[in-house]
Amino acid sequence: MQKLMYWFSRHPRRTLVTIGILSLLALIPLRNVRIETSVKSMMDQHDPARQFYQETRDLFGTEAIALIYIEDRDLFSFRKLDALQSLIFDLEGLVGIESAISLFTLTDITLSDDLLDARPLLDLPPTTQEEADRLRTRATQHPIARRLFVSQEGDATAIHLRLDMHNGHDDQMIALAERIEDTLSAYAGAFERLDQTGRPYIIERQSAYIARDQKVMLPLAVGVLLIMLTFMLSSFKGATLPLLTSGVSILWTLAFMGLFHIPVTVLSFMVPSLIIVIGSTEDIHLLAEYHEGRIRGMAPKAAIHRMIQRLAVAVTFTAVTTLLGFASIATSTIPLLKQFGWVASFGLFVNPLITISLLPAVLALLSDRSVLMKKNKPHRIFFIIPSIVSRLRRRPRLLLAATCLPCLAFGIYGFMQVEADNNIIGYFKPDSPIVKRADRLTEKLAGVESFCIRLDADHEGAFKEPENLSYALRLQDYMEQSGWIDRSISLTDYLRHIHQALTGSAEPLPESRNGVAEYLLLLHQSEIEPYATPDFRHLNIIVRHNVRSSKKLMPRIGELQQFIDRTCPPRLTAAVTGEGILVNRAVYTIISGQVRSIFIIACFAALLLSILFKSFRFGIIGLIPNLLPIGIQFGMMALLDIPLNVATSMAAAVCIGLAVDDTIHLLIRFKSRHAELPPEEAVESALRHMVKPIVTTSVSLSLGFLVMRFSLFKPIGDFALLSAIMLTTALLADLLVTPTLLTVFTQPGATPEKSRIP
Amino acid sequence: MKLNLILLSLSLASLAAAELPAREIIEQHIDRHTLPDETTVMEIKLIDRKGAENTQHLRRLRKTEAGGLIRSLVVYDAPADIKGIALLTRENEGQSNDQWLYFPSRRRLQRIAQGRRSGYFMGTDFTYEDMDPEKPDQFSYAHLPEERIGDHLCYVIEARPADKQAARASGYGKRELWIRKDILFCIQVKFYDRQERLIKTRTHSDLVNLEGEVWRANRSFVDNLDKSHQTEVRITERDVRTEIPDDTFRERHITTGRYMK
Repeated sequence: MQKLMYWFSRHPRRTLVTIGILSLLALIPLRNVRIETSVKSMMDQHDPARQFYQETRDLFGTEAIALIYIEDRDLFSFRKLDALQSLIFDLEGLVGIESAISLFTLTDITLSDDLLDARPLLDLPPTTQEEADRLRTRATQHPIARRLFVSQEGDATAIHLRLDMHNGHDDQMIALAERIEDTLSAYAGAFERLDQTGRPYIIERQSAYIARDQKVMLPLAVGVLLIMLTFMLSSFKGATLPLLTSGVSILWTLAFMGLFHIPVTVLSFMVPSLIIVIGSTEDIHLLAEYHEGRIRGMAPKAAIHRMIQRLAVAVTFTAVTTLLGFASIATSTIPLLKQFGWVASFGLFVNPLITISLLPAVLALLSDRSVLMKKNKPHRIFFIIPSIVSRLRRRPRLLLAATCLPCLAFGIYGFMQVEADNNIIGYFKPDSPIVKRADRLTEKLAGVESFCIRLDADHEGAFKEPENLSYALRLQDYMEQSGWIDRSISLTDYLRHIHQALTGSAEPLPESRNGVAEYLLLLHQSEIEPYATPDFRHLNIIVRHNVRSSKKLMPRIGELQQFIDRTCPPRLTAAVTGEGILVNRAVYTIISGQVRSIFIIACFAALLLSILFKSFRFGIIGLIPNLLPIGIQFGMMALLDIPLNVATSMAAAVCIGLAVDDTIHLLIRFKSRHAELPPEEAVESALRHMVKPIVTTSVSLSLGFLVMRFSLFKPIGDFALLSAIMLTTALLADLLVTPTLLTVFTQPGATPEKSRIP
Repeated sequence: MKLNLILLSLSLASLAAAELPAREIIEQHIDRHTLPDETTVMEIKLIDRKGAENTQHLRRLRKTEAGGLIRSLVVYDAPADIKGIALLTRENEGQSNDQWLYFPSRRRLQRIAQGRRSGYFMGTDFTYEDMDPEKPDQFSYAHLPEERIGDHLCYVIEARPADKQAARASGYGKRELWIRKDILFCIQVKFYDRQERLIKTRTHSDLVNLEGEVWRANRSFVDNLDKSHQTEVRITERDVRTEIPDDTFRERHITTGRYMK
């Protein structure tokens, strides 16, 4: 590594031209970079339940719909229903909409004056108020429309727009959401409230939020970095160098995404900001060392030589630990995490490469005519900190106990309390339009969350047999009584409606298979295709609810599945499935992934430290201070009610990978002093020397992460806060715990003397 | 010169169309292809959006009474669980037709309300209204420019409900009928909803000449764009020579089960 860096500093022009050419080539795959907001990417790709869900989707079609919510006190008046019908016609005509299901399409079967009538619930808008009142009563009592298509008071309704999934790409969904919004804007004054929600809207909002976050977070990250570097280097020109290395790294990372068709997602969009924030830490250490050389009166080339000699190994090892932190995330089976892990790993792999090549080259070129930093004395805070730390370390064992034990206790408390969560709506803040619209709809109609229960039989026509349909009814009754399910809907509801209309019977179903078959002929096949396959071997119960927490939902789903397993007749099989279920099920993967990634990064960090210092003891001493922030993370999650989700589950691994960098720098410095000085003095010396870069990088990183707190995505904001807290904790641990451990657990001459750490 | 010839031929064509008013074409179309008695056996395939097929077998008995009023009886023969379901239609002079549906499991002939006519018939893409004989009094007809379908030049006639009452009774805002000029037989109908959006297309093919000027289609295909669903009807047998007894269309004939084979 040293040789390479020397070479780059000796051949600055060649180095810059090579990087320039590579950067120009990197522009080519940029056009392939796309934003993607697929729900599938939130599921565990190895979840065996995915296959069952895919089959169910093939049998009954997709659950993905666009939902239009309309609220008006006079909804059932000629004027409003006329506008509603006109709106439905306009929506149905949009490209990307397959059909609209509404009060105007649901079949209503009545028998009055011995006349069988089976027309749509609303055929034509009413012409008199009496007719309007009659229609409202009819609609609010209609067994299928109730709570799904009309509120109990008749003042709200919903239009379900089935999507043409040939137009299922994000770009097309976004365009569809915009077309729907345009259509709705033409009816803005027609109703008291008119909202779009559902899949296209969520995708459109996600993409808009990603674009907005990029616009806000990148400049903020750059701003924070510039301020911190200017403060540290006292030179704005010097501060721009890390931005140059970050900029090139971001370009290469985007090219990597384009080349391998890895999309920009709700997680990977923050990689550029992370590269700016994290990637600059190595630059800070290198520039600080160069700075010190210059302050000591060295010529620029000598200062570069000194910088390389002192930091090449440290930079290599810290780059590897940072990289490992992100690479451990790439082992996840959740595509969203995996993609993020790959992209961030690549970015933080190329960033140190660019830093070690670009920085020496630029410094060598500028050395004759530009001074990057002013010669100034470090801020007095950097003298105060080591002195305070030194005083606290007078009773080292007490200090260790007072720091480590509370962290451990807080961590255990947090671990017991923390909730895992993976829910699409949970990605948005409570005050976001998506959540607000969902809340408003849920006040009047059945919840927007859904899942299905698929029942399978071994022969065709099985679900025309009353005994099999009765079991579906039993399941629906059980769910209705459970209290947390808003509505369940199936073929049985249609049959019950027809049977009661024709016979007035309290019994929900006809007695014979022929009776069922006859009733089915009163319905168009398109009306029942979401609930029964054409051969009637498979039945689907669609369930709507409003439980948005995985912790609350999954046990309830477990109870429901247990009830099914206990009661399902041997001739049938039944299981719960659905997109939302698969996404929520991924919490188990998130929890196991969290444990795995912490374990991987901790083991590798300990191993690297042991190799670097040729001492297992140093490996452990280096690891302990970096495990303490994990305890604080879990404690804070419990305290601030932050759930464990795809974003927050990354914080621990990322922060260990980052925090261990400062420990490495401190230990290397300690080791170089320890050959000549007793442990206590070696620690003092190392701390005095390293306090500025350690504090500066930690504060830069924490502030850089806090920038992401401004994200419109709640998990990203939580991830940012937790990361900032953990990095601050890691800084305190490096200042208090690492030196204390070194004084307690190393004896004079205990450091392996043969190792050649510069 | 060429332009003059084209203009002349266009004017002659429009004159020819004007010679035969649209309503008259419809009436001639009805009269020309009406037979006193007709029994057809058919196979209906219901095809859903994924291409899954569901096959039904049924018979249709149709009799034209004195005065030109039509009685018809449609009876399901297969599959077994819908065997015996019957639809009886009786045309009334100057009024809407009467329809009754018979469910064997209920052993009851159920009269169908007027509004029901816009509903779909037995899961097919035909509405009850489509099953009714054409009633020229309830529609106003207009010529559209003639069109060629395949080798055949066709009148294209637009049919709209004649008045508000007819408009409320019909599920369609308008229909467009393609009637072959050479045999005055309808080979295509396009159905539009009340907002005049195309929702359904019905085509008739495999035409056969039964006798004289009487033609029939052995295949009908309905493409329901609104529901992403299709219905194909194939005639497997046709008998136009055997007289159908009058009492076939009486309620008692059905409720006593005598309508079954």
